Amino acid sequence: MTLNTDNLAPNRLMSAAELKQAERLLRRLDRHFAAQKKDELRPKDLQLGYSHWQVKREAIGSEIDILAATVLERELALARYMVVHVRRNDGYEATLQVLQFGFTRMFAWNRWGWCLEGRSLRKNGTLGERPNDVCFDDALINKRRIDGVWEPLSLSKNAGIVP
Amino acid sequence: MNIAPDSLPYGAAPAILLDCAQQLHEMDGRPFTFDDFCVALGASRSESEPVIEQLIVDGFLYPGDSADATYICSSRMGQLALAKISHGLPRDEATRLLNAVIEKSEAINADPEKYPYAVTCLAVFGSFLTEKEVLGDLDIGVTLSLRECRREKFGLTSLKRGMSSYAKTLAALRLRKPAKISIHEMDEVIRLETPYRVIFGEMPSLSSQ
Repeated sequence: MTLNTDNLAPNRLMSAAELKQAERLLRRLDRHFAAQKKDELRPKDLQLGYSHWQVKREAIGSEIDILAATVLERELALARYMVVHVRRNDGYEATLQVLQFGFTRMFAWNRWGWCLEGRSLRKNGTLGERPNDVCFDDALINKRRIDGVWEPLSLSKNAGIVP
Repeated sequence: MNIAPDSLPYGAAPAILLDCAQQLHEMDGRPFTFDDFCVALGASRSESEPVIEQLIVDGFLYPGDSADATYICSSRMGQLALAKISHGLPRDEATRLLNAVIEKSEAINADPEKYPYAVTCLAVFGSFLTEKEVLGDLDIGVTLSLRECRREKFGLTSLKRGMSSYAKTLAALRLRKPAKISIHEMDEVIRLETPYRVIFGEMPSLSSQ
């Protein structure tokens, strides 16, 4: 079953310069993962340790977060701290408050997707503590306005043609 | 404090504003940033900005002392956090309910078999004693005492049964309208140092409580 969703893939919404930067960041992240795996094969007393790699990944993660937040706010008016409902074209749905943005390569690395991380809503609609996240490229996104009305987010007119 | 379900205080849905107020109130007076406020409200910075400005104007928040922009909740935020979302209680209906509670107290005192605890004092307090035409709810302070004839029967071993009889009497006074009638222990009313008016029985002396 496929739903009528918007193609929101990062490589479609990013400009050429942003895409280049995104690829560079993902490559750096891959390099760190590979180096960490190599490091884990060394004797224990020579290993740099998990926290060393975690600090490096967090630094790249914050750059990814800034880039993703910039693009999503410009193209989709999706901003940090919003409460959103994401409905993917495969039927998966998630409701969360967005606290962190990201992008990744999915499905044998040939598709790009956005990653939203944040916290879930409780059954009564209040903001909960349980972490939640969702990755998507084709999806319909609704945001909760402060008056409680759910409003669909649509692509800006210039989406995908940013120089 | 009472917020009408169909109102939009500061442009926000009452449930969303109350959720925000409860999260901020839980910070126990610690300073928080504008981003913390956005997280609690569940809205972007641009949507949150007019709301925080209005809350400051109305005295729910005030800017912190530190150089970095922080805010601190005032005691009014606690009131907002405890606010109820309802249309309120018109004074006429509150007066009718108060008379019904007095009648119920008389009925409880006349039935020692069903209610081992007797109502010795009822006092009304809160918004009923103001000039408001629409109240939040009807706040009633109550003192119950175990009847002499039932004291021996209960004894110390049936404390649990005694507690359930106590709760049963309080529930009866609520007239199955928990959203409209709030029953409080008289001790609690005295501790609040809020004005009250005795409407049934006599105020027990503090030494006898």
